[in-house]
Amino acid sequence: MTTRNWQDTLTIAMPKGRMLKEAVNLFKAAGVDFSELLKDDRKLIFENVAEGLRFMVIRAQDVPTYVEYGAADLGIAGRDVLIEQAKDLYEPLDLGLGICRMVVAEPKELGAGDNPSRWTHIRVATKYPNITTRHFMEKGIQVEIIKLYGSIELAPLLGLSERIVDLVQTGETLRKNGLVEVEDVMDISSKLVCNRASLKTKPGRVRELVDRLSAAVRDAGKGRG
Amino acid sequence: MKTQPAISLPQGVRDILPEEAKSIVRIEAQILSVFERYGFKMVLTPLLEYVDVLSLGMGENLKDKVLKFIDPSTGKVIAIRPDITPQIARVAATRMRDYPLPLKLCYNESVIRCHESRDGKSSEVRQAGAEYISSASSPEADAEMITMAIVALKETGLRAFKVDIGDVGFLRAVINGLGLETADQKRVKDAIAIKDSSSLEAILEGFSKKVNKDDKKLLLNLTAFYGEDEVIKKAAAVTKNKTALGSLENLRQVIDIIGKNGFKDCITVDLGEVRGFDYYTGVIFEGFAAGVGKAILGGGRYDNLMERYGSPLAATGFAFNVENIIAALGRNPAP
Repeated sequence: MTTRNWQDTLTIAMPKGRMLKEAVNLFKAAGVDFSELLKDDRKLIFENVAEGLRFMVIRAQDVPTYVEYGAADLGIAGRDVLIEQAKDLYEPLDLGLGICRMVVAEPKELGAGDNPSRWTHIRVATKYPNITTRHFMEKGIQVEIIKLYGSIELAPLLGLSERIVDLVQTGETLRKNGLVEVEDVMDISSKLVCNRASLKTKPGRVRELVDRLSAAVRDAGKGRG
Repeated sequence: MKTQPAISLPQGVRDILPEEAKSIVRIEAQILSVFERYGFKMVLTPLLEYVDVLSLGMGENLKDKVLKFIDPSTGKVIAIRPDITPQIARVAATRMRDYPLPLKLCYNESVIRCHESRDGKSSEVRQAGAEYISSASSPEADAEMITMAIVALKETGLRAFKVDIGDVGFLRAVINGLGLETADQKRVKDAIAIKDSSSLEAILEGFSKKVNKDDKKLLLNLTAFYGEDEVIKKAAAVTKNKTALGSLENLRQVIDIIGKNGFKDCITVDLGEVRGFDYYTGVIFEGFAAGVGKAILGGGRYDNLMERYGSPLAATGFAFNVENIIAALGRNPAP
């Protein structure tokens, strides 16, 4: 039996919420079980001693920060969060989880006769000010950002902004609120991210985990057909 | 009533009080004594430079971070140095032109790098570094610099650290060999930079001009060619590009010499590392310590730089980030 010292343990930051369950299943497929974290939502740290892995559950937006500073060696973060925060991280694997799209949407009535190529100055509510600013600036459109922390789709209904930039999965939330998509911003999925120093100082451990997860991702892809 | 101004400091700079100053000075002295033992002579460079002179030798990533002002007497733009290497290159190519080669110089100075974000990152960075300037590049010179870095780190009492070695000359040869447009080259390079094999595969699939199967295999493998030095053999087995093979052979020799010096355990290899791709020309290296998320040293070979200051010589160099070394020592105290 091999004993691992603490420097050999990998700490992995998991995003709280909807993604956690999917991540648990993926790790299970890769032979690592930390489903205990799902049973008790007050429990935030779980250690799998045999595997030398430590899992912690934190807010999705905090994952890149923990990993950039090395408080966690690895983490799972959405492409939306990664691009918005632009941290210095490795992104060795697309996990194929949490797949959705980031779009520009507006009220149906406005959408009917609207042409995005004619926009020159717009007001947009979003959780993603950096991505939104860059998206429109590249097209030479001046954009006034209304930064909100949730319920973005309410903004046009209440006249806070004409348009929003937000994530859509099925489009159901947009429809219910009388909004239509007018433009694609980017495709989103969750990625495995890694601290630079961790990859350099524990290359064997990192690669082993990446290989196991990437095999699990491939199998999951086959399962979906 | 007299109003007193808030007694504060600009963002990104700080005072270092006696307790901490003592440990910084001690570590810098240890590093400098190792530099001296290896025959490096110290130079002191000025705080200010003309921006246009400095720009000759600055990496693209630094250009946006330079603190500049206009000299009221001449109207010229002056910079507070963001890096010592271009200064050493200037001194070596001008004032020290008739000194015998190789020229082995070292320094211990502060640089100023402005950060856009207000996240408390330091603007003032203390650097202790060395530059090895010679008539031609050689694996011996690269190996000597990396060996010296390892010896100096050991001298400070640091135990759990690795110096990670890559080669941008190899990467550049591979990427240039694809025959892609500049914008597409950058997309490939950016995906390799973050070891994002998923995106890289999608990018390579998306090109109208098909990338051949061997090149594709090599590129996708590059995102996983890190760790032990076996990756050099693996990479050599899947490339036919002569320049790339030459770089790999040079890298193998560098690692061989470091091994003979007894430091095989202190190094790792990463063929997919692209740090300073536009600045360096050959072997690059960075030091990392367990428990510290940031590099404790960084450097590499820059054979194009001296020429820009009028003296076509080869050079390699690196600098320690002393404050990160102290953070690492705090995490991994010497036994």
